[in-house]
Amino acid sequence: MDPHEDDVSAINRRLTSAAELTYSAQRCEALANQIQHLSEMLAAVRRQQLGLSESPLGRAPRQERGER
Amino acid sequence: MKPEAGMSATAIVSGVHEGEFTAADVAAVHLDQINQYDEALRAFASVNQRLVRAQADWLDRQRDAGARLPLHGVPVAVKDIIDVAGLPTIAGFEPFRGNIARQDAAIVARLRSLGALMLGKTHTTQFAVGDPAPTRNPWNLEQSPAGSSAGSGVAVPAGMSPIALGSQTAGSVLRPAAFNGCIGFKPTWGWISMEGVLPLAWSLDHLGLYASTVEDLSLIYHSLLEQGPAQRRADKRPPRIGYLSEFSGMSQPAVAGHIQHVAEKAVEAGGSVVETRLPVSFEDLFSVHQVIFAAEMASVHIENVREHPEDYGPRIRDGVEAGALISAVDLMQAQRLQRRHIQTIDSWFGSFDALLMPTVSSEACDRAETGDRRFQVPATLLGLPAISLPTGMSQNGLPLGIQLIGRANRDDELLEVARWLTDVVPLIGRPPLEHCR
Repeated sequence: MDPHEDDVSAINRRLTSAAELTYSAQRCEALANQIQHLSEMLAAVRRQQLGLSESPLGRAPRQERGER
Repeated sequence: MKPEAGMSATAIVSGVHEGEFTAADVAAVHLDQINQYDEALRAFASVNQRLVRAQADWLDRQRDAGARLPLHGVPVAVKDIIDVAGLPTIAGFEPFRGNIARQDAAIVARLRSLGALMLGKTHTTQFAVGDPAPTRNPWNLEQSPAGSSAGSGVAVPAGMSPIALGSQTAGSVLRPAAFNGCIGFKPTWGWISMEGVLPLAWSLDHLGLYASTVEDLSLIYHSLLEQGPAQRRADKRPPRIGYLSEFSGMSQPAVAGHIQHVAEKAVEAGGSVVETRLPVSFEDLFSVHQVIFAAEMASVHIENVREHPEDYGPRIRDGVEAGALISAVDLMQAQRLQRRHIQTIDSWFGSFDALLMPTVSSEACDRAETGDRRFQVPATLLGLPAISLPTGMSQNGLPLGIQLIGRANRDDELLEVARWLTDVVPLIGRPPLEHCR
């Protein structure tokens, strides 16, 4: 048996583990970017909603009741 | 006369009607084109040659019996989120590989009844979102064919099919048309039934068409409407075009230069081209679209993502997980704003026959991405008919598209403006395919 085999296996395991961690970190970053993008979009929607002249509590135009 | 790959749908119908060639000849030449080039281009996800030949033989028997159908023998390539009986609907999602459709989607059944021949299913990004499809751009294999309707957007300029079906929930019909150099047409929202089509976001999903000429689009459109061929506008008045120049400032210089060139050519030809701005800011339209898109996509996919997380591409999975965080209140507000914006823009549109802007802010990007969807979003959110015409080439040898947007339910008028404009600014030719063998 190669005396170095255990060392090689251990190194491979660590490399695999490091690659998995890197992949997980990249996935987290991508998801965080998506959430950040959506949060900016939601803020823009809320800003528009506040800018509408009529309150949603007012009398709704007919078109607002149906589908588009 | 024999049919050729790249022949227009109009010429195919005429040839079959006149008995110059058969639907079987048409099928054979297009299957041969697929056999020659699809290994490199990967436009098709599935083609069943036996089914194609059986359809063609049936169409030829119909013709021999005296039938002259409006789309007799016209091959159609179908995006792989749309059911075609006998073929799998995979949508880029491996667990669906065994899902053989038992029935045609409504649009497929309708096209078949008009004499069209379903050639096969074309590659899409997974569930029509942002993880790139395996398809390659025929002008440069290292550049993106866009998405999501990548295969359909390539099948037409590569001469594999004169007509293809795609879908658009953000920019997935128009952007592949611009990147690959063909015409893409997204009719008014709701005009083509979504029955038998995998949904992505119900209130934004549109089906659309790819073709090489406006005449072909007009043929399909008017056949679906059960009307005769389109007539040129009787008064011959050149169109009034609203030029949305603000989008040039958001574009690559080559794109901005080209749209300016097109606007100038339209003026030289007697068109009325007026620089204008939408009455609602682009940022407002985009944010409303993004919230509705993400929330509806999450509601369609969240259960399936939980069951099959590893089978989802990273972009759609992240999009679904982020979209699931949107509250009902935020979604309702976005939907309310969408209705307001539709009304505001419809009231404002009156003085124009069409709006002009670039289809995409750039030429085809690297194939690790599917391109910038921003410029296609206004027409999608508002449900307006839009068409992308391939009228320019960049210095890098890649197509550039211009976008015309029409008023809701005035799709035929938009096609008429597109026809006028293609008389003024010629369309680019087909890509050379020697490098794709």
